Amino acid sequence: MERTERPPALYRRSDDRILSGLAAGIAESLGVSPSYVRASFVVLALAGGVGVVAYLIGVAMTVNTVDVGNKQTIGRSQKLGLGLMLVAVLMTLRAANLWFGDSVVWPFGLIAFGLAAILDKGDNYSRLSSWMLPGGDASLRPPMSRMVVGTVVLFAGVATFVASRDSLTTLGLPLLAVLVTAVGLMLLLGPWIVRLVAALNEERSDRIRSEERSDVAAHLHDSVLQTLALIQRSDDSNKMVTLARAQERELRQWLFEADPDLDSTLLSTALQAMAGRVERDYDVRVELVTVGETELSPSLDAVVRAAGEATANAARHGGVQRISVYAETADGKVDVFVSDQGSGFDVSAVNGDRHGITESIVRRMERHGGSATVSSEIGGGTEVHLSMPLGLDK
Amino acid sequence: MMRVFLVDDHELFLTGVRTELANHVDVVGWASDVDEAIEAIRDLRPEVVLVDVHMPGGGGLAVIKNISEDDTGVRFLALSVSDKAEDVIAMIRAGARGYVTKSISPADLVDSIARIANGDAVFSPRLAGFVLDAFAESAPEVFDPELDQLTTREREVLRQIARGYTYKQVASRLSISVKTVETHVSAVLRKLQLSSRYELARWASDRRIV
Repeated sequence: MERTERPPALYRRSDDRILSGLAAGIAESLGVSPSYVRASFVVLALAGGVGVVAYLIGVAMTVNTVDVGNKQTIGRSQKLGLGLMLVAVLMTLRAANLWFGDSVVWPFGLIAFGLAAILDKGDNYSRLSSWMLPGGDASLRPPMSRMVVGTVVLFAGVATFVASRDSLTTLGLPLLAVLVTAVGLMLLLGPWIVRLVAALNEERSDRIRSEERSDVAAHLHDSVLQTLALIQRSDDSNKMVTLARAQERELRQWLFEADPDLDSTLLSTALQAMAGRVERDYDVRVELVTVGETELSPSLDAVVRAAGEATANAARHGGVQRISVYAETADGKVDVFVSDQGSGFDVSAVNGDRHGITESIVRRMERHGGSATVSSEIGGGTEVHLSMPLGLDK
Repeated sequence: MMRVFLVDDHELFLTGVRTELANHVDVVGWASDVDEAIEAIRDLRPEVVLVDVHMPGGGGLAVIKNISEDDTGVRFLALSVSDKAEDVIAMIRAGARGYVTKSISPADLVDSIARIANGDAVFSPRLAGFVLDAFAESAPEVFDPELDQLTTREREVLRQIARGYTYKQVASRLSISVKTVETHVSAVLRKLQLSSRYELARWASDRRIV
């Protein structure tokens, strides 16, 4: 389809249509709202089907186009003129006997124009869909005065129709009245209810989305952004590595674990927290592997603390970048191995500097009913084995 | 030199690994998406493919599943930032001979590649832990004892690996040869790939985080 500088006198608006957009095209040419043109076609259709024929001829003779920017409107008196022209055409058709009967055409004419007034959003060209469909712009809804006038006209039409049905029996009449009123109300309120429900749903999901977003934003701000800021200010590459590592651990935990606080009663979670602390405090990587799982208890708490001390010891004295922590829950006991491949030391010659091992590790384990053995040789790394039977706290 | 192919959708990581490996292996090519990788691997027939787990278009899983080791002789080592149990298990069950995390040191990575090229398995401490956990002794129902259970010796080897010891250290600690350690680990890999233990899948999905 070609678009010329001047649009043809008559065209169809394919972007604003109910059937073909012919009514919208005509309305644009005339400078009125499409609702009224549509109502006119309905009324003319009742006049012996003339409207249908006229519509089909109109569609055949016009081309599709989209918004042509033809936005002129006409004044009140011109609109009145157009209205009178329509009435004149109707009277002519009535005289020519192209007519389905007074009791049909006039009431439905009123109903059609009442609806048109309600659906017309004002002096601008109406987009029926823009306020009837979910997500439509609320400001495009018709003004209250037009709603009132439209409703009055609509019900006048309904009343006329009901009053003039002579052929109906006395019994059928009230039933019909109720039916017609119900249909009228549905036509009136239907779009509004649909819109309201859709708007409510949308608002709810919007709110949930924005709450989730602000949760994520808050978390990232407290963690990742702070760390990135620290990294940018840091000249020390070791420090940067440590920060990045700790952040990675935390972010990973946050991403893959449903709720970090939920399982804080588990042995593996407590060991994970311990490993994270040592990594942060000593610039090392702690590789934690857990097999099996059990609930924390006072005696297992002691195991976690002893393991923490052993890991920190390895970080302080081992001179290594990586420490392995392996915890296994099986056969009614918990075994934890803390190993490093570092410098090692002579276990039999533990001096005051190493009293952490005897006090914090061995004695602590023994107090709670477990045991600890330290094996190490100079140059061959160190391994601390903690063992604690389960069920001691019951 | 071993002919190695890299698959990773992170350009930066790809470049880094290429540089690290340059003096030790022959990096014959690399790809950053699944289709490209499948085509190039079929074409180049590398000995070992380092493949990332998470990539658009099906990830490393799609690459492994589309290339049969039996037909091509290509062996896979999965390499990922994720050490989520379900990822690890899925890659191994699809046919990868090993799984290491991206924080692995360059020297260890080269070692792992050599081991994979030899047809052995590479278990990181974490993977060893997963296997021990998944094949816990308390199995209520065993379909095939040959495949669904670990021997005491295999369990012991895995424990040592989980404790952070290298194959060589494991061998000396258990007074066995490195070859025997490799044999045990390869046997475990086979069980991991073929076992019908229903716990495996359930266990992997239960454990969302390491």
